[in-house]
Amino acid sequence: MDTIWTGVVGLGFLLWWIASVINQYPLRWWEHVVRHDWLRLVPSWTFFAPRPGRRDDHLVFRDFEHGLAGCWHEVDVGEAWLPLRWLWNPYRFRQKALMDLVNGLLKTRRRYRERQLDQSVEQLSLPYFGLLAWVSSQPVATRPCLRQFAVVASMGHGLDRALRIIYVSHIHRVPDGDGGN
Amino acid sequence: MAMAAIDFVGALDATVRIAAVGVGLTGMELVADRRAFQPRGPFSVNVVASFHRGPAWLLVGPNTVVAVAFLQIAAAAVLVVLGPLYLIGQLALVAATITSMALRWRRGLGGDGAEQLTIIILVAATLAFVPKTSPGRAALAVAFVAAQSSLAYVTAGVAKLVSPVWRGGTALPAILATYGHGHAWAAGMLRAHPKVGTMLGWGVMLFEALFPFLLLGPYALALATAMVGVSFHLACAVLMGLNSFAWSFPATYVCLFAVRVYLLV
Amino acid sequence: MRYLPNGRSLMPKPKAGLRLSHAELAMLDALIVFAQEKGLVLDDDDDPPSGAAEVHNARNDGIFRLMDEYDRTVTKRIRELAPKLDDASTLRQLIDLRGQAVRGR
Repeated sequence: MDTIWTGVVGLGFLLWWIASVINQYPLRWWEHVVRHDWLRLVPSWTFFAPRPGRRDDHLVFRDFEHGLAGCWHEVDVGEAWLPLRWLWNPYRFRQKALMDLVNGLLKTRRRYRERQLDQSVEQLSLPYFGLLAWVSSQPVATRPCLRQFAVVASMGHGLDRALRIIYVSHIHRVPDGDGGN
Repeated sequence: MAMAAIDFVGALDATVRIAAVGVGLTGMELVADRRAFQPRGPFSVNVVASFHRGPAWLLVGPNTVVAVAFLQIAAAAVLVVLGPLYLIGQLALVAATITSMALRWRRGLGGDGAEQLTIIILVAATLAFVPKTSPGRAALAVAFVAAQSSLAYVTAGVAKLVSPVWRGGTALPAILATYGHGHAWAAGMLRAHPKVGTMLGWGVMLFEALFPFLLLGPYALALATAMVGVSFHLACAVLMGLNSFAWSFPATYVCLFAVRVYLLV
Repeated sequence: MRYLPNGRSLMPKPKAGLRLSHAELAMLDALIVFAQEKGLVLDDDDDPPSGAAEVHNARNDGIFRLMDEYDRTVTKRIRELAPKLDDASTLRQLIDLRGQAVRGR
């Protein structure tokens, strides 16, 4: 019995590794298979390649009152203390979450363009939902609340860094009950 | 013969203990930034529910997340001190595996390759040690972890080698010129000395692509390669904030050396 | 501008960190208007994705590859439902509309 189980485990490892190898290639047919990897056990190992990231993402939002746009506010993603960041970096999850959403949104935009969908349809994408939900949960000053978000990319350090707008959303109503203070 | 002489159980035990340090640190980081799971954070129920496919009742609130994170920390501490070989270690191994996967699932976002590799190590070790330690399954798990680690390095290296940005030497300065994964001083140095950036970039590419093959060379070369690997991950931790990688990837070196002994003896 | 005897300014230096400064936030409107007036497409087509996302997944799919985000049938249905989008839709309305697209697959 133990031998059989060892054999099953060995076969499982082999199939897992083969799936891992295949997953390193951008194969459209494989996306239909790996979509069922609910436990997310099949890894992808192309770190910072082939296109390394060169920007920091910032999620900003503003509210409209009586048709007039208010000031932009940035959603806090924290910042690690540099001297200790090599050991202790608790905000990495937030920052990575933002990057996941932004890159998901931009990829969705590319896919929708390939399929010739109108830009407004991006509002129905999952990464858009995530970003909208995140900004909608930020404090609301006035009701009713009409809110818009944008994604800003910064390149470089310090006050001379360059900024670029990489996404501007539609305007959405934040229902009463959302947007805790 | 060679297999009987190689302590695969010991190798996997050591791998788990090293990886468990990263598991514990990750748990502590999640507790430290538990606000991220509260209503205004990216891992709040509202945000995750907006895109996450899965039963809504599994999207637990911040208090439950913190409790699970504390369980993860405790399990990691047991694994580091006692290892996964005895009953309490086996229970800790199962707990660490389940909590790591559960917290990753619950977050939905924000994972990275270090977390991915750590979970692979934990799952493989669980299959080897639970419900009882099996030398045969431990050998398979060691081989699997070594194979995954090798795949990771080679893929990372090759993906960089086919990139014109990396080959042109501008990748490292560009990455380091960010706040999230950069370092102002290092970015400034590479801007001032672009050839250094190019050399370092090529060094990273070739090191990653050749890493598992270098380990099959003479022992001195293999040892030097492993030391360079540890230094590389420490440098990534210092300069880029990739602290979790410094535990998960070096943890696999024990498995790689065990496989090396098996292949070369 | 007031100075200390040693020549240092009494004005606090703006802190340079990850967060956008007040000045940077204030210029966003101008950046957006400028880009739109010039007909620039706001996108990252000429800019690589963030490094950290690559750390997780080669093709920046992250968790979204596990869903029907890129499913052709779903996107086709989404296109059909797009005219139902209101001005100032709430998140709940958007989710419900997408739910119709997924269920209609």
